[in-house]
Amino acid sequence: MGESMVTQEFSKLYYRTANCLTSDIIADFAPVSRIVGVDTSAGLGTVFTAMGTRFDMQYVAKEAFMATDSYESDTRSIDDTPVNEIMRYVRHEIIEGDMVPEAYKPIVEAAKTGSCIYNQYKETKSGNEDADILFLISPAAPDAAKTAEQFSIVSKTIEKSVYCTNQYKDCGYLALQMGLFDEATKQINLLKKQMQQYNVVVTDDSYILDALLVLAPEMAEKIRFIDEFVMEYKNTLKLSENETIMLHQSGVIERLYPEKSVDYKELFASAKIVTPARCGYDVTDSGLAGGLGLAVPENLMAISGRRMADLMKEEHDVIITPCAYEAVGLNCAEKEKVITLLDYICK
Amino acid sequence: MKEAYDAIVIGGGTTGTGCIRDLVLRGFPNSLLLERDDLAAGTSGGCHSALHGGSRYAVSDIQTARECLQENQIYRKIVPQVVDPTDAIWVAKTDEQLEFSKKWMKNADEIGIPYEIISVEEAIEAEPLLSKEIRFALRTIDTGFDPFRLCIAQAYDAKIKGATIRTHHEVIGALMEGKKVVGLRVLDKTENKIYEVYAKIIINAAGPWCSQITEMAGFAIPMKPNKGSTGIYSMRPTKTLIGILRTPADGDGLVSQGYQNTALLGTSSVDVDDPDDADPGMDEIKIMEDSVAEIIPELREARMIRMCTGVRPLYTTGEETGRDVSRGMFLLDHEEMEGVSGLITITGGKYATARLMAEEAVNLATEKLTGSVIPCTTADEFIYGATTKEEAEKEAQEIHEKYHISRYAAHKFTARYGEFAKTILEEYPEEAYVIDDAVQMIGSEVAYTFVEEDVKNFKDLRRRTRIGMGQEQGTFSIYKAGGIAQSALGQTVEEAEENVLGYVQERWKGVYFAAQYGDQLPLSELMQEMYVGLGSYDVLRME
Amino acid sequence: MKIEKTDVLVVGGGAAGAVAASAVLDAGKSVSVVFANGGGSEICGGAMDVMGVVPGEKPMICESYKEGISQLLAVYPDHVYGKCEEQLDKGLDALVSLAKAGGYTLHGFDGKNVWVPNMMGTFSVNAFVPEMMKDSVLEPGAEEKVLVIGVKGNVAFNAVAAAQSYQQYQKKLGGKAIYFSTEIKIGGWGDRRKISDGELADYLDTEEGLEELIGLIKTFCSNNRYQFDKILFPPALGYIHYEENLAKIKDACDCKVGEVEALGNSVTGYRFTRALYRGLEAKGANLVRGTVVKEVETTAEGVSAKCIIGLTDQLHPGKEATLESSALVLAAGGFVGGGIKARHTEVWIELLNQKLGSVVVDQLDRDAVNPKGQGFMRMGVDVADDMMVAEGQYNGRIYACGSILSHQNFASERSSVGVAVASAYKAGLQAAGK
Repeated sequence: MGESMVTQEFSKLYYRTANCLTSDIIADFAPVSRIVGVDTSAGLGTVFTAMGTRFDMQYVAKEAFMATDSYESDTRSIDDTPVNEIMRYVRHEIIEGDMVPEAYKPIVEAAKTGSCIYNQYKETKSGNEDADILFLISPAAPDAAKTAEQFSIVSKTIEKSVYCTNQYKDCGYLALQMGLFDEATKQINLLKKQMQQYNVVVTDDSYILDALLVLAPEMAEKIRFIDEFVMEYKNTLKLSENETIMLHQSGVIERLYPEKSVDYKELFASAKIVTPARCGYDVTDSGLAGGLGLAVPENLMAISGRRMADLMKEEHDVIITPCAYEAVGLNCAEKEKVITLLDYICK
Repeated sequence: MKEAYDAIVIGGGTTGTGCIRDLVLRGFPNSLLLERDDLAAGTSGGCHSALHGGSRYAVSDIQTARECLQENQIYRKIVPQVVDPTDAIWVAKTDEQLEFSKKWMKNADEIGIPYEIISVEEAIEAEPLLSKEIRFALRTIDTGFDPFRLCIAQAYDAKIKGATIRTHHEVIGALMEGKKVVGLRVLDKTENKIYEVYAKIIINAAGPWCSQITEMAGFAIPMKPNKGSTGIYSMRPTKTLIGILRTPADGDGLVSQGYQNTALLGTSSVDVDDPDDADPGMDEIKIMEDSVAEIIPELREARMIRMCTGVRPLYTTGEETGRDVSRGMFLLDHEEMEGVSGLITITGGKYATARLMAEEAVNLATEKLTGSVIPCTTADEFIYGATTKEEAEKEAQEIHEKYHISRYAAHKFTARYGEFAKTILEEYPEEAYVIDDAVQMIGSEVAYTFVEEDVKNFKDLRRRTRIGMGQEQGTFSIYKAGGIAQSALGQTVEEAEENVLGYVQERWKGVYFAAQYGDQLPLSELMQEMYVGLGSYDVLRME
Repeated sequence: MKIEKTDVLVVGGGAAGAVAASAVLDAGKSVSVVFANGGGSEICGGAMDVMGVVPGEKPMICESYKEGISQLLAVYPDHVYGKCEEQLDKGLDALVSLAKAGGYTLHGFDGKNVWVPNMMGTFSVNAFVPEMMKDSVLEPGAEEKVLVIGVKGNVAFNAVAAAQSYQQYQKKLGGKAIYFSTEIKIGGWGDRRKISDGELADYLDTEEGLEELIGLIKTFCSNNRYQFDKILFPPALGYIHYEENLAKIKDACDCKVGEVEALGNSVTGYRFTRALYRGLEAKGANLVRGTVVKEVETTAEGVSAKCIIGLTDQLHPGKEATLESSALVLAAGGFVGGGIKARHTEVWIELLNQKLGSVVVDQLDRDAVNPKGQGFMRMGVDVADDMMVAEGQYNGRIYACGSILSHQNFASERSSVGVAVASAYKAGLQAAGK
């Protein structure tokens, strides 16, 4: 088995950053500047400047770590500036230079060691390892055992056996976001062996999905996001709902893997699907950003609170999201309970 | 009553401002500095922003190398906030360069330049954009610095201690009493008023324009104005100064500019006839870029935002040209040479040795004023606003917390103003926000520099604050400065327009010469869209 | 997102791309629009120019854009308007109705140009303005009292300076208004000091944000013995609910209310481009978002375009896909939009692998604000009279429109949207005929 090694080349990143003409305009679109504000930090524009000078990264440490969900800015960059990649690089430089802001130290430590940042996390495994499907439960799931049970119901309906686990935590996602590529590779290598045994690997966590596709691209064919998987078996699953469903899509899927995006109107043919004003390619994430958002709870609350207000604007019976991580993020706002796609089809 | 001084210094470059500071420190606060444009508007501002530690001249000019090394240490001490100890990596790629490096190290040992041979891998790890094909590398000391702020700091150090600084005042004639220069005829360019000033001694530090001054006193001096063009990139691809180990030639290296977001490709050497007519040449830039691209291959990806030119005041006694003319300093006592008293000229030299030049000139001046040389203290005393790095850091943190300015911007800000940083924000708290994201320049600076630092227009403002010198060249920031000039300084709409458009025009000049560099074009288009398409200044402009 | 074969493929997500797609649909054919983002339209100011000034030693301001076009063509016979002037009305109709369908109302003035105040404190000449700027338009001769409101901390718009400037600059345009200014402090966010346009817009999209703003304005108006005829705001009255917000503010103020034109601020561009996309979707176009076209090949039968779907960076190579169609419309923008690229000293249309040469000093004027315009801005793709890319190698299947076209200088002419929609409509129709 060839082990893929993820790296990031500075020269490929550098000129694209420094040639960016509209850094402060695109920065305006990152939820962290738009909602949390540009006055506590000068927003992402500062990080661009520091990146351009290649010095003084310590002065923008806070901004680089705060910049969650920067893919939303990426979509607005008319000169093709990879905002999230820049943040990833700067975070890495800051970690290397031992300049990590206090609030982020526990998360950086967790990313390095591959441990989980969630208190409620309990290692959970269910089913026989010798199964058809491997299901990777989101480490953020409030009740992993329940998620495992839900997925087992789904797999039973389609007559497949499943092994559910959350032992691989986020599969290296946070490590990737911090440019800790060696650590991420180490974490994925444990999982890769296991993945080989299965024909299909499913996850209900869009951030895990991203980590898998980045770190194990050779297995991309067998990796499915939860809604993609449900869509494949929608006839067997006999999904029919007559409710009005407000849908919060996953930013990771809509932006990075739009080809995996599922048409919910087709998935729930008899339901009415509504989306908030910012949806699809323009979707605004929950602010949790695969865990990074957790370090500053007030930012997370502000971002998820604003998103929830958007989601609640139109009439609906239920708000669902395919991604368990996003559900956790949105539920931080404590406005209305957002449920996962799995919750919904198993209710 | 006639206006009389002990001494007058002509020229607001680094030598002139160094002289006036030195005069004041030696007990002559009744001195005047006259500059026909703005501080650092000529050669000093066009320099390549490296305060060399001597390594560049180790082989070609041991004397200059020694002086540079000594002066470099002094500047680090007396004005730490303006000097950025970037250090340098010098590399060799060809056999010839390897040969040169041996000679270089031998001389460096002799001069005392500290250096350390590093492995090629180490060099590439430190500077990932370096060519993988280099064969030898060494690390040595060098410093980047802000040439504008250093001049300004020297001038205001003198000003707060009693000297008079007049910018935009041009010397247009010498007042003679027989063979003695007793005063000057000066044009106040802001009010178009001509007046006379008298002094016991006049120090001519007009750089490449030196001879134009002495001609007013009846004689010429053999200057060889030599143009050095530099190309400025919108980015800083290397952390350190990168140099090629070889005999000095066009395109020796890339200077990393720590106090801004740019790097500078330098420097060419071409003789010119008239120092006022020195446009950068495309061909020079191309030669330099080709040369540096040998060691930083992807440099061509970088966007060159503008080119600029400085004219070196080289002094010649014979027919030699270009790099062969001495870059050493020359102190000319015209009483001895031409029999004209009351006037001395200091010329030649490097930015890095300007303090020493001032010292030499003022030695002679004090001797003429008092009959003996008064000891010089410029090497020991802090310059205007100077703070240590630690103090500046602490202030930056306080500013960050109090004014919600990002730590990064606060850091840059204290680096520009030292101990005055806080005062500026206290005086203009309403404008305490970043208006230029690319250089992290703060709105209060607009108000402060107009009021306190003799800024007359936005071109002067640029020299004080670096506004618009970042990647977007002021496109998104200069109109904001215009707004502040109106609302905080009470400028009229016409005045603000003149400032904004004057600035845009100045930037365009850089674009005009650099625009052939394609990646600049989106910015040029944006600038036009903003100031023509939207601003409608082509049709609404007030005359 | 569907990767399917359509009759026509449009490359570009700005105004030109949208109108070209609309023309294809009008002709009864199917269309896919492929784009990474809205390019130059993503950072547009909001108001739309068609033809405002004929550049020259003494630039002529055009009262009406149609007359302006004839005057322009007399001076520059090769101008791109010479090829597509007839399609201008249709193109404008298409743009207005797409935007309308997407919830963005554009107003015209019977072919007349109007002057719109902007964030710089000057006025720009335009033919169409969005609902948000309708009331802001300068009315020559009207002796009205205009209040310019700035928001403390929103440093991109300095209301004090802007009001002073409007007062002066209106003179050349026959304005007789009196401008006042004030700054309001929004307290809903605690002690924030610097507020970007995006933040402000996002806050005003929330109920509490709008309520706070209206409360502040009401207090201001009721405490004031002046009755203002018009209130001008920075262009940040919401990303999503902007028109509702404006209506509510008007109700509360009981006078005319409008935004000033933006300077590349992200809010207006977002509103405009998203409205166009909603309009296109409603009309039946297939939008392939977040996708970059890398290579185009044509055969006698059709066009195939190699694309990369999804955001790309070093960890995300994106997914390759091939889109097929009978014809392709290139609406990829100019230098800013990214359709014209520069590789060091050479300028290229990368998608066509076409070198435009290098920009030399001859093509540039030394004056930044030059009444004659800049020569390099006239660089771009050469097209035949039917907007077909003139080079023979594309089997006559590629058409071009918008800022990527040569023979125009949209900044000094104030013609970018007009040229875009006229050329796009023609290009779209021609492509649909393949």
